[in-house]
Amino acid sequence: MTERYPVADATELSEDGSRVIAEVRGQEIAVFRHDGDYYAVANYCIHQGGPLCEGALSGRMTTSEDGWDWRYDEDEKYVVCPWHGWQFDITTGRSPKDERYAVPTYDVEVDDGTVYAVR
Amino acid sequence: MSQTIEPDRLSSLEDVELIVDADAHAQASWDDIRAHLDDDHRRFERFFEQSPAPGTEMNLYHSPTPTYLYEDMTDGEEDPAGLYDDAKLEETAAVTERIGVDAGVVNPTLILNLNFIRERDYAVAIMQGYNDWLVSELDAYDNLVGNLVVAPHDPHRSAEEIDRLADEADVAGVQLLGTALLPPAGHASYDPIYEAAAANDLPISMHTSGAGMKPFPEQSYWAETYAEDHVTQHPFAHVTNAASLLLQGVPERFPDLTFVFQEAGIGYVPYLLRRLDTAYHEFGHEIPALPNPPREYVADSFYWCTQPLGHTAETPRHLAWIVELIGPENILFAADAPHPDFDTPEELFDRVRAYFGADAINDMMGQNAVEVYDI
Repeated sequence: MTERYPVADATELSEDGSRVIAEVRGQEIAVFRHDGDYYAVANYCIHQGGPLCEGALSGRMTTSEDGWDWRYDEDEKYVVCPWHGWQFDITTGRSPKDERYAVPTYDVEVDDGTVYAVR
Repeated sequence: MSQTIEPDRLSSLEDVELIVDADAHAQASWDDIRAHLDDDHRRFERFFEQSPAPGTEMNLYHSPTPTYLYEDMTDGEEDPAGLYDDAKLEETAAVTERIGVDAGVVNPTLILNLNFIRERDYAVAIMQGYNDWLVSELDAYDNLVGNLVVAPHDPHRSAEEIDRLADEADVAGVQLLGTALLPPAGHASYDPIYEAAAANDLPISMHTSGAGMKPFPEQSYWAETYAEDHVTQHPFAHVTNAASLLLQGVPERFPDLTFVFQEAGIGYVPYLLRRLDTAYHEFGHEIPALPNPPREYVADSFYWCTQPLGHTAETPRHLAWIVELIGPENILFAADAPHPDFDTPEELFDRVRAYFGADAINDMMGQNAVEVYDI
């Protein structure tokens, strides 16, 4: 049975790239604002248990067609774990490097100026 | 992993379909190479003629590994300086047969040190002379195929060399020597070599070498003895080249190209692969060239030769564990015939046969090599 838990006032997440980290039933969950939407991710890196969502948000390095030139994709939707640098897409929870790896994500609801995580 | 006797386990080497030595050696002499220089390279003939032992300056130790089985040297050779003379491929073919191996993939011996040469044209000349010698010699032996050598000093002429000889029946692949390969194998300058190999459906083999004045791996400079050098430089060179190939995205840009790593055993491989996967996550920004984890490219296109296995009879299950960590589908049995640090097929088969099914054993002992080298 899922329930929704208030994690923030919407004014705290008024800008893209902002985040709040709240405790929900004993677990830390971060809610990010990205490209106008909200995304909730467990503050727990599956690599070695680091506080994943305290890390920076980043874009992603890619390559040109021939594989040699590097390009920076500025869509900053990857949270970088402050412990070992593992990255996860906050919109899906998946590692951009290896789809076998993912961290838990949660639905987000906004109701009357309050942001809720659904768990 | 448990050692249970399953019905599909092989109990005897005689039950193995085909045994291939994925790393046999040819003993071309300088005379052999000189005799096969084409018109473009005749100017080096004088050097070969005048030097009593061209290449001697490459040897820094008084006792690098000899080139033949010890028992054969005490039988026949009185003049150690004559070790390379007039041997052709006879000894390789004979030792291959003697130790119960059905076929061998031949790599160089004397010019394992080709990369140590500084002069580009000279390296290209040796490449051409050796390859023509190899192709002409291989015709005489049903149980041997060979790898063409390339001179990384000149990737474009190496690519032309691959195109020139790739259609010869006994050419199984391309040897890009791993020791003294500067810059390492993932550098963009080698793309012409990889393009030519891929276009001709030939795998790239990377063999490392022991004695000699080599700029890479750098640890070699401080080795006072051949033993010290031999222990460290084979795996160090492979680790550097494999990491370079993978993290620079070569397998992504040449998805049909296969790589074989020779002469360093397999103990270092599980460590390397897991370390690469960790780096892939920790330094993802530096590895944009790979959309998938290194282990996936390794599983698709990297093969590891088993020789030298060491004293595996002590605890056979440890060797089985290493095989399991790498995957039997990526392992090639290698004997190193006719060199005196050779492994017989028993050295691998006897230790692991109880731990893997018949298919996996057949793959490791020969079928993987048949597929990689299209034997």
